[in-house]
Amino acid sequence: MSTAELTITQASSAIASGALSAEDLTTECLARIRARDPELNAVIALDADAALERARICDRQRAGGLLNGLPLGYKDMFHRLGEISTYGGPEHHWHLAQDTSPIIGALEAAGGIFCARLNMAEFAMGPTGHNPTFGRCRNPHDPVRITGGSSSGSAAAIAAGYVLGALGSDTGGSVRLPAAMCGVAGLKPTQHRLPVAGMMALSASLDCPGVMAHTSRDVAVLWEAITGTAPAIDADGPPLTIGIPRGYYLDGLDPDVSSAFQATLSCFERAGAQVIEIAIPDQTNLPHLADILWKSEAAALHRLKLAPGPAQLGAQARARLAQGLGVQATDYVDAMKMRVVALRRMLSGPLSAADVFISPTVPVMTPLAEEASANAGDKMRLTLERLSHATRPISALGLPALSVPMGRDRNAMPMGLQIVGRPNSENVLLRAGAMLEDALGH
Amino acid sequence: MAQNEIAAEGDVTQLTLCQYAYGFTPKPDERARFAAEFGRTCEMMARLRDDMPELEQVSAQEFMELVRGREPSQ
Repeated sequence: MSTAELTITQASSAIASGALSAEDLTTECLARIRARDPELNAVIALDADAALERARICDRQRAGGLLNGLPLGYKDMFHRLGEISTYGGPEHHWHLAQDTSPIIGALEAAGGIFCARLNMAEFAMGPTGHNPTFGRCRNPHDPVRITGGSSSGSAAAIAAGYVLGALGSDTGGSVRLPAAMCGVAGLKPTQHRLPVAGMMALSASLDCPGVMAHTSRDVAVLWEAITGTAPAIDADGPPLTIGIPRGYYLDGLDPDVSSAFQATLSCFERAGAQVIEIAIPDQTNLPHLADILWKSEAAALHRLKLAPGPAQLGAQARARLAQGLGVQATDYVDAMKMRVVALRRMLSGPLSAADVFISPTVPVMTPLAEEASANAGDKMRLTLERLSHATRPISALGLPALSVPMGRDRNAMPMGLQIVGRPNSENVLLRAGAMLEDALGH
Repeated sequence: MAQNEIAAEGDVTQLTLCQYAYGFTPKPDERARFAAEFGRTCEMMARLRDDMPELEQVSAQEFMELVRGREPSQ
């Protein structure tokens, strides 16, 4: 098997047994980056020499941590002491880190080797993978199609075999969307579960660091390295109850997405889960509610980047920030309270009847880059609304969600299944994700 | 207030904010988008306030308790 297809679990075993050296694995990952990234553009900066040096150290200390000798990457908005974080923006805004994200610190302490800073939407504002400063990140499954965003490079780098795991951030779907469109697993944890220190701030209410890898089991290993708690994915327990929501989350699905989603239901049933229909409270206004929160907070932080000059952001980021300038304080305060009402209704309704509920992560097939506008205007707004239809309400509610691959569409592009659970139920989501992956043979 | 009046109000608001608070004049298309969004927000908030009669009794801090695992009160 090529090391490009190795999961974290497989690579860890191979390194621990001596069948594979961390140096060889890292060398092969770096070679893939050099060979393919001129086309894919997933990497903003590569730290090859330091990565190889760390790999040699890992080989000398073979009994290392959970991630001993495994190449990783991070969205270029996390901080690592003494290094630049570009935030996906123009040079005027590059940040020389004075601290290290505790999440990066935990993954390094477990033996992970961060070898690449990865492409992203400008200031994490954009669902398509376009970037006016660094250029568009291209989908490894078909470079003329979008990767999804804003953690575009993180998902593309895993799918292309550059790294075995990566960090992203998710304010409205930015881990789940690229995970779905690039065919990898991506976890947005419960709001405020992971620290946001050492990470570019966009929205204090909605920012959420997330992890991505080939499979749910790999995400579980990263989760254990970060939190110190191992999700009990394969433990015996009562059968999972999987809720199928009526209404909002299944509205407007492309036929291929709908077929793949229906096929997952029988996979879960064959795996022993109980699949039930559940009623969901009206979610129609939740995406806009989330917008009120994050756009106000983002405008407060980044409003000076709107004015013409070297510090000015691109059209898409500007259009979204400018809207935050005009949100009334009374609306912002009420939106914070409406979020509580909506969460209460979700917890006492559908999420009391089922352990998780599922929907397609993205209701449409992955579009061509030329069809998905990165500019301002109504076309951008409609693109954003369509792609993030199922992810933004979950961000507004602060619930954890996992996106896992659920097959390919007629263009051979991956599609994703979103699994949503109660607060702090990441272990349940990962168990359900692994159940589906086993059934689909991933 | 009619939708076009709300939008016009939003247009004036953003122009004033940008010119006086931030020192630049937004482009006409940026103002138009802002105004449309402003109108949508006003309408949506009015709908949601009607749909959530319990809003008066809710504290925003409860969100932190719920995501930490507390069961929701009815």
